[in-house]
Amino acid sequence: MSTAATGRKLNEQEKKKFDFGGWTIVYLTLILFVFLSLTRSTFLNFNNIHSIVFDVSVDFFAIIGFTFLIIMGELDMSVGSMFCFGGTLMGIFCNTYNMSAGPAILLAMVIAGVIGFISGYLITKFRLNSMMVTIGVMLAVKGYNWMMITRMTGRQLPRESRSFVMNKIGNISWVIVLMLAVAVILEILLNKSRFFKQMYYVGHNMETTVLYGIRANRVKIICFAVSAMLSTFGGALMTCRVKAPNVTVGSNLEVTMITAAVIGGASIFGGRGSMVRSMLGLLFIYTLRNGMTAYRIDSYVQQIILGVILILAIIADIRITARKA
Amino acid sequence: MSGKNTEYLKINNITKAYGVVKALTDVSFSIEQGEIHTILGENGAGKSTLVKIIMGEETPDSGTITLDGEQVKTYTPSAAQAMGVRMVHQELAVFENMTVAENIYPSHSFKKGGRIDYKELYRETGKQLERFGLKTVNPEEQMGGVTLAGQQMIEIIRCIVANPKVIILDEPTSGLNDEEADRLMEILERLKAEGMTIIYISHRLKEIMRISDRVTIMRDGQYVTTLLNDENLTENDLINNMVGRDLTLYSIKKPQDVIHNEEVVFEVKNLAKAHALNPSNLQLHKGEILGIFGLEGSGVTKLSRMMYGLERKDSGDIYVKGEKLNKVTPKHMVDKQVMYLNNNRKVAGLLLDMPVTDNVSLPILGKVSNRLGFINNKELKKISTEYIKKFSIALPSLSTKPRKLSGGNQQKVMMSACLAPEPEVVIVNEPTRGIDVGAKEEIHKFLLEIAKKGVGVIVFSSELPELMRLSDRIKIMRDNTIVGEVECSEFTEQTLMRYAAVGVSGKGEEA
Amino acid sequence: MQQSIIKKIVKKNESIAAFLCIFLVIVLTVKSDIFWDPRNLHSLQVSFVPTAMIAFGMMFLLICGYFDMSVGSIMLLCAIAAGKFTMMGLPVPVVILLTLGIGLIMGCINGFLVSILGINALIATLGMQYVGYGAAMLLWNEVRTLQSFDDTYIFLGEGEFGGLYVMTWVLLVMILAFSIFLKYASGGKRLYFVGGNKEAAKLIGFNDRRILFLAYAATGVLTAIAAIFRSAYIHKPTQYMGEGIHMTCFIACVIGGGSFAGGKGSVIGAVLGVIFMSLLTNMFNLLQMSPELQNVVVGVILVLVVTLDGYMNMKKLRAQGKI
Repeated sequence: MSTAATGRKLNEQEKKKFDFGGWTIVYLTLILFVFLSLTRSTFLNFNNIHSIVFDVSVDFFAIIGFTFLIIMGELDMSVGSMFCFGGTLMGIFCNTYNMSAGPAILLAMVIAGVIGFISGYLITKFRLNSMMVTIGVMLAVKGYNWMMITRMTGRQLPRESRSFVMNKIGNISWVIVLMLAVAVILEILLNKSRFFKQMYYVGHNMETTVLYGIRANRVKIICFAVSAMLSTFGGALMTCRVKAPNVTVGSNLEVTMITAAVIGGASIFGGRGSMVRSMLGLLFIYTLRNGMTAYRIDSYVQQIILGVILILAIIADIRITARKA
Repeated sequence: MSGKNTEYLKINNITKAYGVVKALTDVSFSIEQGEIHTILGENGAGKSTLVKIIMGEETPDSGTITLDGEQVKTYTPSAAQAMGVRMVHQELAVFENMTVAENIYPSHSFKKGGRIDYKELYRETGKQLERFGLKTVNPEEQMGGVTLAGQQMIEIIRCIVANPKVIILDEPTSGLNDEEADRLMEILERLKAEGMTIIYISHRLKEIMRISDRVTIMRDGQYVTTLLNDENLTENDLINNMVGRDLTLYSIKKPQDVIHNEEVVFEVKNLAKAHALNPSNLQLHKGEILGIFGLEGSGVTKLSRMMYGLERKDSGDIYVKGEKLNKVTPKHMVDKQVMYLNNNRKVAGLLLDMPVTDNVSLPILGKVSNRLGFINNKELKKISTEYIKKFSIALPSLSTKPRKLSGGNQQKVMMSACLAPEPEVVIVNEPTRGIDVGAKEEIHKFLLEIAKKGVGVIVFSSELPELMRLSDRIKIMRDNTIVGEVECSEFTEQTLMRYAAVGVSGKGEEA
Repeated sequence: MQQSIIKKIVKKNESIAAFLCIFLVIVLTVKSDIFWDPRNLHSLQVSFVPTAMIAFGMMFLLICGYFDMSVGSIMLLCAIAAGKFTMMGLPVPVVILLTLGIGLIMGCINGFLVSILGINALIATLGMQYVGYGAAMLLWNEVRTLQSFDDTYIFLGEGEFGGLYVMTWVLLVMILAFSIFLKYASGGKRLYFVGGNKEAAKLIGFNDRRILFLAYAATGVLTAIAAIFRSAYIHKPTQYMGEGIHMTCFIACVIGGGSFAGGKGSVIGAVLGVIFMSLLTNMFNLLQMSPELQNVVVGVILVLVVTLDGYMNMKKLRAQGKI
C-alpha cells in the first residue's frame, strides 16, 4: 500500500496519456507521411496517395465488423476468406448467371451474412472460442474460393459490372468518399447511438450488460453477420478493381486487421476501439508498406516488420490494460 | 494431557483491513496440538480471512502467527505448506481430466526406475480410498466421473496423504449427504487419534457438537470466545455467541412500521434445479421488503440468480404482477420493471472502467434515446446528477470511472444504475457488502424510502442486523431449501440463526 | 465396475480418429485400385511422418490448453536454413545441430511471448508465423540455387532400413518415447495437470509458466526435426514447405482427442489424427477429387469438432448444476 500516496498523481498522468492514446495513431501516421514526403520524391504525388487511400478504403469495409467484434472482445479470423468470397461469388453470379454488379454484390452479401450468422450463433449458444470457430469458417470458405476460382481461371468479370468501381467523384474514387462518410457516421453512432454504444458495454463486462437487460448474445450474432457481409462487400469491390476473382485477394487480411485495430487503440480484451482510428490504423499500415516499397525494402523483410509490429502492439495493449486494472 | 503443546498454533493480535473495511480486528487465540478446533461465525465474521492468513494467501497488517514455537516470517502458500499446513478449499481444486489416483498423488511419489509405478500408485490409492470408506470409487477412474461428494472426499485425502501437521477444512460437508458427512466425521476422529491437528470450519452445529474439542466463535471480525465442548455445551450457547450483538446499537424495524398490502407484485412458484435448489416458493407484496437469510452454501445465491433468470431453472414459474412469465431472462425481467443488484460489484453490476454516466445510463438506454436510437445526453446527465445528489456520491466529475471510487461510492453508483429505470420490484443481493458505515446507512434509508413509495424489495443478505432493520418478514434458507419464515414481531437474532444453522425454530426441542 | 470392452473403447478419446481412419481406409480400398500399391504407401509414409512429428509438439501444447500457429513457417525456415548451412560448406552433423538450434530459438521466442509476456497464443504465434516466413524467404533468395544436399544428409530422408524409411523408424521411437513420457514421467503428467485446472495446479505448486515454455520449445525442436527429414527426402529445400501444416496438425490433434480447453490428448491420438488427415489428402488425390474441396471438408470438420467439444462441456456443467 506504499504506492497509495503516489497513486493519485499516477492517475492524473494516466488520464493525460489516455487522451493522447487516442491520437497516437494520428501522430504516427503524420510522422510517417512527413518522413516519406521529405525523403522519397515519388511519395507525395496525387496518384500515389490516391492509390494508398483506395487500398485502405476497400479493406476498410472488412474492418468495420471486425472493429465491432473486437470492441466486444471477440475475434473474427474469417474476414480474409470472406473478403475473397465476395470476389468468388461476383465471378459466379456475373459470369455464369449474367447478373449485373448490384444484385450480384447484394446476393453475395446475403449469403455471407447467413454464414456469419451461423458462426455467431454457434459461438454464443455453446460459448465457443470465436477464434477457433472462425478459423474453421476461414478454411471452409477459403477452400470453396480456391475451388471455384480455379474453375474460372482466365475469365474476367464483364466490363460493365466492374467498371463502376472506377467511377470518381471529382478527382477521387467514390469508394474513398464512401469510406470517409461511413467512418464518420459510424464513429458518431458508436458514441451517440444506443445500439452501438451497447457494444462497448458488452466488451467491458458482458455479465453486467446481461443483468441490465441487454441481449448481449444477440448483438454479437448481428455483428458476426455484419462482419461477414461487409467483408464480402469490400472483397467484391477489390475484385472489380483487379478485374477477375483471385485467390490472393484478402490473404492474410486477418493479421492486417488485428494490427490495424490494435494500433488504432482497440484492445483484444474488449471494451475499446474506434472506427476512425481503425481506419487510420489501416492507413498507417498501407503507408508503411508503400514507403517500404519505395525504399526497395524486400517484401519479405516487410512481412517480418509487420509481424513484429503486431506483437509490439499487443504487448502495448497488455501493458495498458494491466495498468488500468 | 501432559506433553501436549497447548499453544501449538498461536494467533497473536492479528489485524487485517481491506480498504476501510476491517476484516479482522486484533484476533488472538491458540490451537492445541492434536485437537479438532472449530471456528464458527456468520458469513463475513472473518473466518475465511483468518484461514487465508494461516495458509499464507494473505499477509496480516499486524500481528503474528506461531506454529510449533516457530514464528511465521513470510506469508506465502509455499511457506505455509513447507511448515506442514494444508487446506481443503471450499471451492474444489480437483483435476477432472485425471484419474482419482493422480488427483490424490499429483506429484507421483511412486516411482520405479524413474517411471511412475502405476501398480503401486493404484494399490496405495485403493488402500487410502478404503481407509476413508470410498469403496465404490476406482483409483483408475476419471475424476470427472466421480460424484461431487466423492471429489470432495478425494481432495481431503490428497491433503491427508501429504502428512501435514495441521489440516484446515473449510466447509467440508457442504457437498455431502448425511451418510457421507458421517463417514467424514469418523475419519476426522481417527486422524485426531493419530495426532493430527485439525481446524474445522462449518455452520452445521450438529457436526460441530459431535467432533470438536473446542469451538472458537468470531463475530464481525473479532474474537468472541473459545468454548470447551463438554456435556454442558448446547447449541443455544453457540448461537447466542454467534449473534449476541448489542442490538441497541442497531435500529430494528418495529412491528407497527410493517406495511400490509395484499397486492402480490412478484411470485416464485416451485422454482427448482437439481443439485442447486429444492422447490421454493415466495410471494412479495407491493411496498414490502422481504428479507432472505442463509449461511454460506445454503443456496441463497442460486435462488437469487435463478429468480432473475441469470441461471437456468429445471422447473417452476415466476409471476410478475400476477402475470406468468413464459421465459425468464434478465431482459424479460427488466421489461417487466424488475431490477437486480448484483452481490459482487467487482464481478458484474458495474462497468468499472467507464464513466459514471455510462454506468447509470446502461439500464435506461431505451428511455433516454429518441426513436432513431440516439442517446439524449442532456437527459442522461440530468438523471445521473439526480442520483448522485440523492446518494451524495462523492465524484470529481461525471466522467470519473468507478474503479477510482471507494467501495461505498461504487456501491451507490451500482444502486443508481439499478434504480434509474424506476422499477416496481428490486432484488438486491448483499446491498452493503464491504462498505463503510455512512454509505451503509444511506443505502438502508433509501431502500426503506422506495418501499414506502410502493416498490417491492427482496433483500438477500448475510448480515442479520441489516435484514432485521429492513425487512417486514424474513425467509431463511438452509441446504438449498427455504426452511422457515419469521415475522417482524418475532425478529431475534437467535431465532433466525437457529433456523439457518439447525433448520428448525428455537421453540421446539427436536433439534 | 463391469464395463464391456467395446464400451471402454468407444469411450476413449482416440476412438473418433480411429473410426474415421478405418472408414477412409475402407473407402479407399473399395474406390481406388492403387491405394494398396507400395508406391502409394511409400508416398503416404513420407507425407505422414514429418507431419506427425510436428503434431506431437502441437499435442503437448494442446494438453496444456495452448497451440502454435507458427509451426509452418518454423519448418520452412529450418529447411531453408539447412540449405544455407550446407552451402556454407559445413559438415552434415553441424548443419543438423544448427538447424535444430534454429527450431529451438523459434520455439523459445513463442514460449517467451505466450507464457512469460502472456500474449494471446493465437496472436503471438500468428505474428511469429509472419516473422518466420519473412526470414525464411529472405534466405531463400540465396538458397534457391542449391542443387542438392550432401549425400549423408539425403540418407536421412531416403535411407531405408528393414523396409521402412529411416524417418519412420525415428517416428516409431518417438511414439514410444513420448507415450512413455506422457504416461510414466511426472514431467509429462504435469502437462495434463496444468491443462486440466491451471489454478489448482498452481495451488499444488507446479510452475505452469515453465511447463508451457518448455512445451513451446519442444514444439520448435520437433518442427526442426520434421523439416530436416522432409527436406532431406526431396533433396533440397523448397519455398512451399510447411504450407498450411499448422492447421493440419491442429485439426489432427483435435480429432485425435485433444481439446482446445486443455487437459486431454495422447500421442496415439495425434498419430491417428495425422493418419486421418494424410488419408484424406490421399483420397482426394487418388479419387481425383478437387484438392481444394479438402479445405472445405477440413474447415467444416473443425467447426463441428469445436462445437461438439463446447456442447459436451456445457452439458457437463449443466449436469452439475453449475449454470
